[in-house]
Formats: sequence, structure tokens, C-alpha cells
Amino acid sequence: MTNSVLKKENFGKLVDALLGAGWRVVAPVKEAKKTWFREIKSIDEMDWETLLPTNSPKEFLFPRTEPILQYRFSNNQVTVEDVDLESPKTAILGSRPCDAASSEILKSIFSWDYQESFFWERRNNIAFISIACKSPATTCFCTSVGLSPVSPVGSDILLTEIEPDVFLFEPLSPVGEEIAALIAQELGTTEAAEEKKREFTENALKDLKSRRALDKVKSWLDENFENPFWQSATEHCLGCGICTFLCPTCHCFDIVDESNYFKGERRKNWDSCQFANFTLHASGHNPREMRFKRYRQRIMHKFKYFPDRFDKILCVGCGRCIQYCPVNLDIYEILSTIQTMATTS
Amino acid sequence: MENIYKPHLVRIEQKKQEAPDTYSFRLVFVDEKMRENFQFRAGQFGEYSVFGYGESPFCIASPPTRKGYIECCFRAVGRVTKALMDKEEGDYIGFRGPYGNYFPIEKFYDKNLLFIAGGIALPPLRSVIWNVLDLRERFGEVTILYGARTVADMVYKNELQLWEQRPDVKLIQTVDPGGETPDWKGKVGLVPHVLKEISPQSENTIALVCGPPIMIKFTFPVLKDLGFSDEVVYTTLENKMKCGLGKCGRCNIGNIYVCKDGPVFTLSQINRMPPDF
Repeated sequence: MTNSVLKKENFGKLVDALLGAGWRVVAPVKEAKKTWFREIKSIDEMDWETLLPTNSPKEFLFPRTEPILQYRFSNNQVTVEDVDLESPKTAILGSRPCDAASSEILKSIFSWDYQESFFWERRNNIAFISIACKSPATTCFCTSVGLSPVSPVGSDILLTEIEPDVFLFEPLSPVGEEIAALIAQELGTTEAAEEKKREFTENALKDLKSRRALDKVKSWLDENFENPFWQSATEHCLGCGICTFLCPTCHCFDIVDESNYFKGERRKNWDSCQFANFTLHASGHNPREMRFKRYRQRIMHKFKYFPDRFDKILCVGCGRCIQYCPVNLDIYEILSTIQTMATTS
Repeated sequence: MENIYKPHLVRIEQKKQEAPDTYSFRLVFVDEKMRENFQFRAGQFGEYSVFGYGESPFCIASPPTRKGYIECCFRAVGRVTKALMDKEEGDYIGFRGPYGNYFPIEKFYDKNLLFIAGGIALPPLRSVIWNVLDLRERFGEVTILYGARTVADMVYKNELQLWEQRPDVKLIQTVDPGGETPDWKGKVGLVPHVLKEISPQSENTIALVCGPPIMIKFTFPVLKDLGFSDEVVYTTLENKMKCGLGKCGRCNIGNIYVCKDGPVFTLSQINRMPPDF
């Protein structure tokens, strides 16, 4: 294990070195009483206090709206052209291990069978410089889905605060090494890095102790597509879709045209399985007209269908959907109830 | 990396009104290489687009045995299909595909084929029917049962006549009670009822069923009574789709992507799916 460390006071130099090497730097920034992943030009803009920004870094891989092609009309002819994809080298500083892991999950969907260039060109230009979670929030449940506050999945560099204001600096990929080289002079060393990290991990996990394993959830879902639980557990859902928009792994999208008399664009926009028209057929038939069916689809997709298909759970336990649900519909509670039903039946 | 959402330009070579609000197009790729090299199998679909309006998925209604063009048939019910309806011969639209799986025609060699179609769902079977008729000697008896709400609603009326005249095809046409005209020579009755009445033999026979959900629902039990096993009954599922490539996430039934694993399924595959369609 590496014994390199970066002091908090030198994070500014990391940002400057990244900017100097042509990277765009994105970090948590406080804005309108909430914290968001935003582009920064200086470390002073970074919000260190908030555990998780409201938005997930998904939008830097897969923007909420983006043109996928453009066309021009003239004399009853149409010319179709590709769009220039903007994908600057982007370092996401202060991402959490859950958010970094989500980008690995999204890879499955955007590369099975057909490679989706829009996702991949961005993904190949993104570096996650994650900060391990010292004190997880009450809405966190990463350990229930196989991750942890120090999980390295998806990160290029993992920073762990092993002493006050001193971060263990672990490059985890070639890109991580490349960034490490940029600030090699600022890196110090520490003794007993491994032990200090173990201590950090134990402390971080204390807060997550009450979070149960969800290992029986899938086997219950396999058997219970039809169960009165779906209706009773989700009847207060408003169908607003905020859970899907803030989720770092939700990836469903719509394709729409926007045009005027001379030209137009075809755009890919985030969509949500929580909306009734998501599955509405031209005939008027709708397989998921009722809200509980749409919520069931969300749970099933994350914890059964996606694992069946790609051998990964489509959830990283970040808890944003719990934190921001206007009616306190708590996905962890639902899964926990399912776990209980699975173990007692 | 290639842009998987970029359509090919196709020119409308022929436009025909098949039924009220229902049109068929013959489309030719503008790009010469595409015109020569484009290949697909019966049952596959594509995304057809009107620039400025959007994309809609329909099957390729022509058979792969006819080269140089593709055909589609649609009813104008939404934003894109209404814009398609307004296109004329010589106009350009977009096409990307072929997508999805197909009818395993080779498995049908030497078997009798029973086609059962309702209304606007004849086009996907029409691709298979012409594919089979173009290679006629490889297959056994061909029976086509086609029903529509009214006589006017029947699509591909000219071709129905051609099939009726062929000695190697048995065509039964029916319209729903009340949909007949004074000179209607076909049957009057719902497809499942007519199927029961004609009771085709199930031995060494494959059944291919396409129609509205309600027709399909009542046709399956009749086929079962006639002795068709679930493995030899084929149908297509039509879910709302956007990408056609297994990405956009809306056409799923359980862990099945209709756009990738379908649209063609056997009844035994459908029986294993959760009731979410």
C-alpha cells in the first residue's frame, strides 16, 4: 500500500496543477442553500462540509439533455450531421466512493452489444478523485449493496483522512498515477498507513453498523412480482420522479426532436420510469398505468432485472432518493422489509 | 466511435394508403452502398424518423428476399406518424436498423405454417409470408387467417387478392360483426372464433400470431385446444421504445429487453415473463 499523503492545505495546489494541465475540475460547491457538483476554478469554491452534493456526478457522464445529431433543411432536402461532442478532460474532486462506483455500473448498460459513443467519450475523459467518507449520513446504505465508505471501485485516486487534515493519497489507475505525478512535490509520507486506514474504516463503518445486508432481497423479488406489498408500501408515492433524477445509476432516457423551419436537433433527455407516459403505447394501452407498478419497476430493475442481466446491483446506496423524497418514501426501508419477509417466509 | 443514433437517409419511392389513416411506404436508401449491402431478417424492426418530429419504431414489412428497398406500414396516431403521413413520394426520411431478433425461418422448413393476423398487425407477418412464398418449395401448407374490424380497415388489400388466387395458399379473411359491407365475401366473426371454426390441424405446424393484445389473448387458448404446443406458437410484442438498442430502458418486461431479445417470442417464452405488458 502507498504511504503518500496530501495535506488539506495543499488541495489548492492539486486543483491548480489539474487546471494547469488542462483539466476541468468539478467539485462540491454550495449554491442556493444546497451543494452541487459544479466546475471550480479555485479550491476556495469547494464545500468540504456536505457529505454528498444534491446532484450526482452522473450528469458529467450522461448530461440531462444533449444533442445526438443535427440537421438542416433546404429545398425539400435534409442534411444530417453529427454534433461535436464536448468532452473536456474532467477531474471530479470530492466525489464519494458510491458516486465513483456508479460510473462502473453505467458502463454495463452503455457498452453491452452497442457501444454508446456519447457516454464513452465522456467516461474516458473523467477522473474520479474520491474522498472516503469519515461519517456517513443516516440515509447512507452503501454497505448493504456491497460497497463501503472506503471502496475503491471506479475511483482513480482515493483520499482518506487518516489524521486531521491529512489525506492518504492512493492512485488506483493509470490516470490516477498521471495526476499524482502532477503534484508529486506536494505529497508527503506517513508511517503505518495501513493501520491508520484500518482505523478510519472501522470508525466510518460504525455509523453503518445498523444497515443490514440485503442478500435475500433478490430471491424474494424473483418470486414476488405480484404481491400486495407493492401497493401498500408505495401508496403515498407522488410519482414525481426525483428519485430517478438524483440517482447516480438511473439511466433511462427519451429521444426527442427540436427544430425550426431551417434546422433542428435530435436530443437525448433524461426520462423517468416513474412517469405514466414512460411506457404509454400509441394505442393508449399502458403496461404500467398504476403508480405502484412503476415503483415496483424501479425496485425490480435495480435489484433483480439489472443483476440478472449484468450481474451488478443498480444501486450504490448513496441515499439521495431517501433524502430528497417529498413523502419520505425510503428505499432502504422497503428493501429492509423485503429482507425480513424473505428471511421469515 | 460510431454514433449509434444516426439514421440513414431513405427516399420514399412509393406511398400507398392501405386503410383509413394507414399508409405504407417503399423506401430506398440514398447511399448506394447501403442499398446494396443492407440485410435484415423477417421480424426485425427499425426506427423511422421525420426530422423535426422524432422517431417511431415499426417492423420492416417487406421480405428480406426482395432486395433494394424496404417497406413499412403505419397508422397515423401520434406526432411522428402524423408527420410521416404528410410525407410524399420523393421525400426523405430517416431509418436506423435493423434491430431486434427475427422469426427463425430455417426452423420452419418442411413445416406447415399458420399465420394469424389482426388489423394493422399484418405487416410483420407479411414480411414472413412473402419470405416463405418466395421460397415456396421449402415449406408445407400455408394458411393465412386475417381479420380486421371492418372491410375498410384491412391492409394490403391487393396482396390479399394475390394470396387468395394462389393455389398454394389458403386465405381466410374475416371482419368483426358489423364491419362487413353488402358485397363482403369473407367471414364475419372475431379472429379467435373463426380460428375455432376452421380448426386448422396442428400436426407439424407452426403458428405465427400478430394482432392487438385482446385478439392475441383469446387466440392462444384456441391454439392450445387445437393441439399447438407453446414452443411452436410465435408472436411479436410491441412495447414503447425509443433507442431500439437496449439502452433507454423503457421496453423491458422483467429482465427482457423487447428491443433486443424480441420483438419475436414463442408463447412459452412469454409464459415465463412477469405480467407487465
